[in-house]
Amino acid sequence: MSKPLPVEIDAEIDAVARDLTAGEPDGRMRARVLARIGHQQQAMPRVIGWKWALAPAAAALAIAGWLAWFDWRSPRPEPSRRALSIGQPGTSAPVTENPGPPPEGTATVAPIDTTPARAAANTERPRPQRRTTSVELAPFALEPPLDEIAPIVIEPIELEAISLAPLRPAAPIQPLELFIAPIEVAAVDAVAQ
Amino acid sequence: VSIACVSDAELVARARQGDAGAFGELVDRHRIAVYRAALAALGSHAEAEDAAQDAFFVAWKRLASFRAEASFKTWMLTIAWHQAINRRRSLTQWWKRAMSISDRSGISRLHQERLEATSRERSPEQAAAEAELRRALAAAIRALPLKLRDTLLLAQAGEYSYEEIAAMLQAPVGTIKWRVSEARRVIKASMRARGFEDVETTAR
Repeated sequence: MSKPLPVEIDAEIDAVARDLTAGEPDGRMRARVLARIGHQQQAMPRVIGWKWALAPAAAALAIAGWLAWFDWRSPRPEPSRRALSIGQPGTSAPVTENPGPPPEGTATVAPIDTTPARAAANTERPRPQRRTTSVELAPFALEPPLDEIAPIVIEPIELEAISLAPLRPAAPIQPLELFIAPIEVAAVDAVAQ
Repeated sequence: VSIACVSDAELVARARQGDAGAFGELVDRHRIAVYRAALAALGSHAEAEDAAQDAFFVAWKRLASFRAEASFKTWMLTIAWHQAINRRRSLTQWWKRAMSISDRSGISRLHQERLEATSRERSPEQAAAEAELRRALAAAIRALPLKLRDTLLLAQAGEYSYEEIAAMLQAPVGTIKWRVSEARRVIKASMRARGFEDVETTAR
């Protein structure tokens, strides 16, 4: 049995849809929202205070970083120059960031950038004046002197003699005799019958 | 000057300066519209209540970004709709609850009252037929695709203009009108599939 669909079905649809969204919120919505806002405003200063407490630590960290960077940037003597002054107390060696060609007889190792762009830049770019600083190196002495080192004595290694026992004669190997049973072949005529 | 005579824009200006009372007045003015938008999206009175409260709280926090390009109500409804949709996405069991017969606390209560009222006015047969029709229509509306159902429910809530619905759903007004019409067409087709027939067809 079919059920009739009313002519004013659109009005019925609208009415049902209206019912589905009908209703009003709790009357305490305003109070709840304001209470939540008040709670958030009270929590805000604590958050700000916590952030300000971190500020001195952040400043100290920044200063420490700046000092480390400054120390890293300051010029320091190169190892090759320091090697020249070993054993010459009181000598002062001029140290530059770009010392130029090494003197004869001195082996220096420097990183070489072989890229074409870098090489062109090195040849074309005018080299700026670098500041030169002198570094006083303390005298360096080897302890103890080389002639006082005792010679190395190699002690002989003693080994016990190894005695070899004579080998006993082995028993002769006797191969077993093979026995093959005779094969009986039936006559071809008997098979054919 | 009573605060009831103050415009929304003036209340927003006061609320921006930290006047929570002014914002409370805005809550009072728009709580029903916000709540019904959330109810259209969520289908549950308890969830709609929470979503509306969240929406007002978010609006308070974002009040500085309100530029009065639209009305406060439209801006507020847009926030409320987003809050409700986010909540709907997070509710994994939402669909089961929406379809559950046991969820008669809000929506179905109104249905029940309406059905009882009609049964007092009409014969028992007519009342039963009316009740069956309304139940079938409610089921057909709930079974609509989300875009059509949201649009139909917002359009029939009686609280919003097509322009406000378009702002909430971020679609042109023409699209909103088409969705309402399409929702009705789909519901009618669903009703016919459930055994209902047009009166003219039945008369033949």
